[in-house]
Amino acid sequence: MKSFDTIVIGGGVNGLITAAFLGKAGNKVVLLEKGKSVGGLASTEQFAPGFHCNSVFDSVPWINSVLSTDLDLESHGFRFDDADTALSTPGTEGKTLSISPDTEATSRSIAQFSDRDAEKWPGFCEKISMLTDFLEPLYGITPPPIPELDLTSLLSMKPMIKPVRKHGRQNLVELLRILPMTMLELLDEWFESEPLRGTVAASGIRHLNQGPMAVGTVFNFLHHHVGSESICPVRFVSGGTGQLTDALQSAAETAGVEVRTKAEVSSVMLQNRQATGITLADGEQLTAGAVVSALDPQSTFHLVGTQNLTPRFRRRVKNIKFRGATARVHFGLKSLPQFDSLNEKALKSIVSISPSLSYVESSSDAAKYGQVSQEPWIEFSLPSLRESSFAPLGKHVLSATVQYVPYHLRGMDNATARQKLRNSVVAVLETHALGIADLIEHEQMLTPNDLESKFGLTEGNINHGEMMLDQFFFMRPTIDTAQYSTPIKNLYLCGPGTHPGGGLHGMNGLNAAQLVLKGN
Amino acid sequence: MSIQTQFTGSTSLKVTPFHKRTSVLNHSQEWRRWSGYLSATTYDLTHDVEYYSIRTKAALLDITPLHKYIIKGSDAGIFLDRLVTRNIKVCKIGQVMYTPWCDEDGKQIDDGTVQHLSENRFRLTSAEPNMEWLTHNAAGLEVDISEDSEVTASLALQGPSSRAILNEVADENIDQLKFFWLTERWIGDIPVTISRTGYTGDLGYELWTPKENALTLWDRLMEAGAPFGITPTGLHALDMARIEASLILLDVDYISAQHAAIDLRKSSPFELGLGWTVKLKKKDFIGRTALENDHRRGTEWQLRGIEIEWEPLETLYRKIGLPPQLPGMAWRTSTPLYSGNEQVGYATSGCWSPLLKKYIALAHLKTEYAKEGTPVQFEVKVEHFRKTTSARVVKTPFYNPERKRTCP
Repeated sequence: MKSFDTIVIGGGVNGLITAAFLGKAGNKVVLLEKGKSVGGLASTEQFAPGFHCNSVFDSVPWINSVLSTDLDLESHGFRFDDADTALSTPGTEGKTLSISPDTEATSRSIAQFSDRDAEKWPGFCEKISMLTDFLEPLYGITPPPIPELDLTSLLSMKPMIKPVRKHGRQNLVELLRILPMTMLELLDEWFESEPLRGTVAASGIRHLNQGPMAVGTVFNFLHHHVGSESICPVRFVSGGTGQLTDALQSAAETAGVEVRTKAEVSSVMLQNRQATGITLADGEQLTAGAVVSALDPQSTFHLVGTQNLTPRFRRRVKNIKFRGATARVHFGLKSLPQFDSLNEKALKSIVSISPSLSYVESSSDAAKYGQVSQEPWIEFSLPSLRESSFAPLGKHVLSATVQYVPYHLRGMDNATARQKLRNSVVAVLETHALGIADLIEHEQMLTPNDLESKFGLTEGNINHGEMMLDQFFFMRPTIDTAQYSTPIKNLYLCGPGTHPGGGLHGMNGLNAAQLVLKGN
Repeated sequence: MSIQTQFTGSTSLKVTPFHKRTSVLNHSQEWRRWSGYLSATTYDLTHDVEYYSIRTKAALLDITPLHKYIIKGSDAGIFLDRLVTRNIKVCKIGQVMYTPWCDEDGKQIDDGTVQHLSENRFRLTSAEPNMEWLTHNAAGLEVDISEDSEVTASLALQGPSSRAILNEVADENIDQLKFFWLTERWIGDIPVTISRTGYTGDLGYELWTPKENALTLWDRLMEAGAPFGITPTGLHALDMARIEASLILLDVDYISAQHAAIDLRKSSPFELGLGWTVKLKKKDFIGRTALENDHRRGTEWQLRGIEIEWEPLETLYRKIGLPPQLPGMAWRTSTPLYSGNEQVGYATSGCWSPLLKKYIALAHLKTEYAKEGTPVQFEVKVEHFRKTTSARVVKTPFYNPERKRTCP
């Protein structure tokens, strides 16, 4: 039996980061990835002969700067491609809203729809930036154990002093006022033009099962803005999103981490409620002083065996809300489609089909009843315009993130949902690019059910648990596992199911690595 | 004179498969709700005859409302062993174990019996519905749990003549069936599981059969039992017998940890006199860590039997010109117990034992007052006025006849 200091399960962003940092600290680490390469949700893959796509994330809005500096990711081939990044929304009468990091340019674009909104835009950007200033240091903290709060854990909240000093208590109160609000309520305080309200609102419902009229969507909106310098941030990784995880793998290996692919873990070995190692699907057993799982909490405790959990903890894990409602669609296109109101610059960045807030809300209605939205919110990109290697010469790839396609379907099976998803997406795209349906050569439809089987995501939830206020900070993923450790001694969590939640920012993996090192 | 009639009043309660018979026999038409079923409290106009039949003849009780679960599958034994405090791994096929089960804080949820019916097949009885708790804890195990209450009819035949009656009707003699064991027998052409168990602390059996056979079984027992004085018996008599036997009752003598409104209301088995059922040698079961602490540190409370002394009680009543007023039936009102001016406990159920000629009660006492022989003051209302009278902690069970566990 091979023995390690630490075994990391799962080779996505967070698993790689945890492994790399532990390796750098001198631990003997092995990382086990089920797939044939690392990457997880941050992969770039070939979905049809000659056609490549970013599996789940086209854009990586924020990566903690500690990662790029401490792991020297640039020397491992990672860099951002920030050329012409904007979020475009086709509006009425051929007008297109374009939100970019350039505040003035964005204001000018908004002015096509409303002068008043254009004037207010810079103030809104400042406000959101102020609010996320509070969250950013919070994201680097291991949540204090509540209800067993003691002085030491209170002291761990020290980084929160800085934003309170900077912005004052009144603004802290303002954060608490705004955090549980609906996107509708927030936007009612600011804007009147529908394409702007729809597009900003859509940023608050990303990967949720709820629409912008649901409470707590502002929290999700702020979550997606932590660490970024603009509203509706878009950033690309040069060479495709998979370059990020490739660089992380390289950094981890440089730090001495053994990365094993096609290594599926079938169970976590236990001895007296302590994790002692893992068993691989092929029967091989590896032992370690610590096992760190980047899988979501339910998948992790499934490996432990639910029968080995105490009744109360089992109930807490069972009660985590997943309810994936986001689908991914990849089309291989014969040629570049012609969009009525979107130029090539817009298409090589991200486009949001969100003409109004009520459009986005209406698309969420279907999810409540287990149905696939007929007019979904679609966020798409043509990555082949940015990376010519993604498609054969002259051909293109269109990748879309689509809401809402609920995991829990009513009155239909997954194959039907997949078909409905395709019909909805093609129908919506046709209204903006007539004839696009005829250009489709290849396609890949990934409903939440498909995402579950492809990536091992419970209920297809990309965030490993809904980003709602009741699943945030010391309550993420459960009240007794928010400190990255678990009731199973020497078993840790480092995936997005932990604080501070989903995205490719890597904070979960970084925080978890620090905790594991402390534990050792 | 009596009018032969079935109980025909409209009811939203369920009726058991014996209702056709019990409703005709229930002369008092007194019923109680038991787990959603209509259940006879006394068949006769008073319960005395039924009580004495438990102790001197044979009492027949319809216990179908008891919650029952069939637990089967390759992990059934492991599942039960983790669920309850007793060691189910040593429970042989044909054996029955009485056991409580707890939440992970070691607080008692319910108590009942585990019957090991066959390889990987068990029946669990409980006072309250437990399906949610059972399925929650079966996660990850190869176990199938099903409600048995609607499938299986059950009767208790309790009393010194119960064995003789069963020997009359069963295909094989049951003389060698030991206390807390079960056997499969034929009664006529009905398959019946007979367990030597009960809730009276006397020689007695419980019979389990598919509900279609209910009436045939009842008739056969009543017919063969007639010469032995078999008596349909209700819950009033049973309640007295179980107090004499010091068998606790959920929601009377303790509150389930599942629905106690405050932690103070929850009890550990060590506080309920069930320490003997907690097998701390078992590696893992729900509540083990907490129960180990209880065992090591001792608990604040103990459930004990008390006997209210005759002379002081008589004196209290004599002062106002009355003979001692004794409860004709079992009571279940929490009654304070004092030592000097300090309340040191409370009795939760009690009765006058006609057989022992003693006034007895089950009581929760602070551990320092729980030693056998400790004198305590029992609150009693004498003609509307609260008084206290002497009682002392005594050994339980109050009544424990040798025939309960012996074989001829």
